[in-house]
Amino acid sequence: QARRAAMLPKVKLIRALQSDFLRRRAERSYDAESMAVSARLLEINPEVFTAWNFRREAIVAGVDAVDARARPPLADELTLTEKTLKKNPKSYPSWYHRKWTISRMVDEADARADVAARDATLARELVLVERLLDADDRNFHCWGYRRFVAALAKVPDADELEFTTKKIEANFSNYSAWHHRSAYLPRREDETENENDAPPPSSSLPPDVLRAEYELVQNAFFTEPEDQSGWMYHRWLLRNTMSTSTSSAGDDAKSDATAIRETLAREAALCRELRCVIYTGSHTTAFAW
Amino acid sequence: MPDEDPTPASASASASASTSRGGVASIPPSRLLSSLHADFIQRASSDDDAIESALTDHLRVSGAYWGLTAMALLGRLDEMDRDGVLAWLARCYDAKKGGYGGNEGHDAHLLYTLSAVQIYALFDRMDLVDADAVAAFAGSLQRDDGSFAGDEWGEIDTRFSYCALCLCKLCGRMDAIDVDAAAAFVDRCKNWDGGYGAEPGGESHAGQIFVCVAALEIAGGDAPGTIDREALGWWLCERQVKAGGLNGRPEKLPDVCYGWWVLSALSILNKLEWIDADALARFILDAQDGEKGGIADRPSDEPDVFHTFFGVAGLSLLGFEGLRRIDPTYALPADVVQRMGLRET
Repeated sequence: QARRAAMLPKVKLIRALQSDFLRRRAERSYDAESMAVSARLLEINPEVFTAWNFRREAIVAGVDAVDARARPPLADELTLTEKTLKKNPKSYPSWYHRKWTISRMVDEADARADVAARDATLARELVLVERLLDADDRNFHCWGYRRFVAALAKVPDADELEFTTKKIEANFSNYSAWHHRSAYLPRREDETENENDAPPPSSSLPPDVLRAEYELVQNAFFTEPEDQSGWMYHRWLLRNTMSTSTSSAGDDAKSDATAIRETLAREAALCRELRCVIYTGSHTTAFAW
Repeated sequence: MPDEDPTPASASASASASTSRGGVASIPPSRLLSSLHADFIQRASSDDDAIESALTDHLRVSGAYWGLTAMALLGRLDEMDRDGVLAWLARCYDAKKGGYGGNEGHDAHLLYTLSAVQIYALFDRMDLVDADAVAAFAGSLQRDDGSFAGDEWGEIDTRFSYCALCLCKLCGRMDAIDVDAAAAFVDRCKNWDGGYGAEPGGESHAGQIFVCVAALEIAGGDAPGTIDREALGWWLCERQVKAGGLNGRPEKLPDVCYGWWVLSALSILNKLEWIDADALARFILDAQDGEKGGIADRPSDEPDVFHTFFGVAGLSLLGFEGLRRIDPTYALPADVVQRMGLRET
């Protein structure tokens, strides 16, 4: 085919470049020319993770170099990954290399007690994340990277929540934003959490938080009733509502049951407005009304 | 509650799939262009001049696993150059690390180490694997929180948890890793919707769900009981779109490879009948290339070995006639898994 013939020179170039790089890699030649070869290869094919490994080795080896000028600058890695991510925003090795680079830069800033450098580095990453999410708000690599940067920058949960609200209001069909949101909602104070983990998904939301989420998701139904995201999030809210009954007894249990019935009745009425049937699982039948 | 039924998931799944609403039994087996696909795979395995080949050179070991296992399911493994493959695989091995790279000269990584072990299992040549070294490689990559890095550089992903558990199980070296910690980490990746992501807090994605569910199945004991079977089963069957194909996440396009990731997870959960088997089978068959052979990600697109394998694997799970049965947990022919003593019966 004509396409194959037209591509042949490029194929030969890629194979030659890769052979050259692998030879340098085998020889562990961490010189400027080899770094340039690895960069050229990665710009064409960022999936060749061996080339990213090679660059990381060069950086680690360079740390021990007596002459600081011999150390490959970490800034070069930011430039390179920005190029490769622009071309392929779903490249696992590109994202990981950037994460590795930023971690090192933050560690180095911390070692110098240079708060300004740390803050500037992380602020710039948040801007990059916003830009890439504007281009594709379902890019889970990007959302994951955002969690990584937000944790390092100690962004308050409320700020992250606000960011998800912004994304959801811009586009209700954004399952990724709803998902991200679920991790940053304030939880009941009596739930103990390991601050390094997302809270366990089965823990309950306080009633006022739940109420606000029902209102937010209502907007999704009326704007885009065909979209799954809001409905699946709603199902989770219902499960939260149902689970409030299991943690109380006596009079508390009675008023909880009433509150649950009211919530379900309200949501059912909403759905009748939309002419849908909601799934409430087997929990309603187990209730004594 | 975990199912008490000891029947291997793959066996009961294929039984139920072929009886659901007439299911795939109503589709003539000749609709699967087996000979064309076998030729496609053969050609692809030696086509160095194609750009796709050059750009995937670094993952050739996985490519070989996809092609060879597809040929095995089609009943044509003997048409492949077994000795050539085994000799090349040996050259992909880094004895210093105990792991396999994606091709000669490429660094060792858990992804390709698993694919290599799967190829050896397929050819019944586990004697060629240095089981102790490979298991030690996997063990060395486990972190204190039970997670696994893909290699020494530290990228964490539940895909690597599956790679480690699966290869250690295939090698009979589960003692090389902390299985309880591995399962505990996977459990921490469980989301509000019952699905699993790449790391704690990561969005649910069918590929990650497959590796997590399969990892918990391999870990055994209490691990499979931590799955929210109802919520997850529902999330998974909601991947089926009107055209019959499956997507990997809500509001995404269907793709033949999800015909494997979603289906294998549903199969392990014993809920294969929660999707419309007939509609899915027709979607996969429509994605075949009637001229050059091979299967694409969706109808009218270009075929490739990756989608050919997952398409055939999906059809196998659905009980499509004429295909060898595939095991949903190990992604190898069911008889291979049984031969290795990994399944009762």
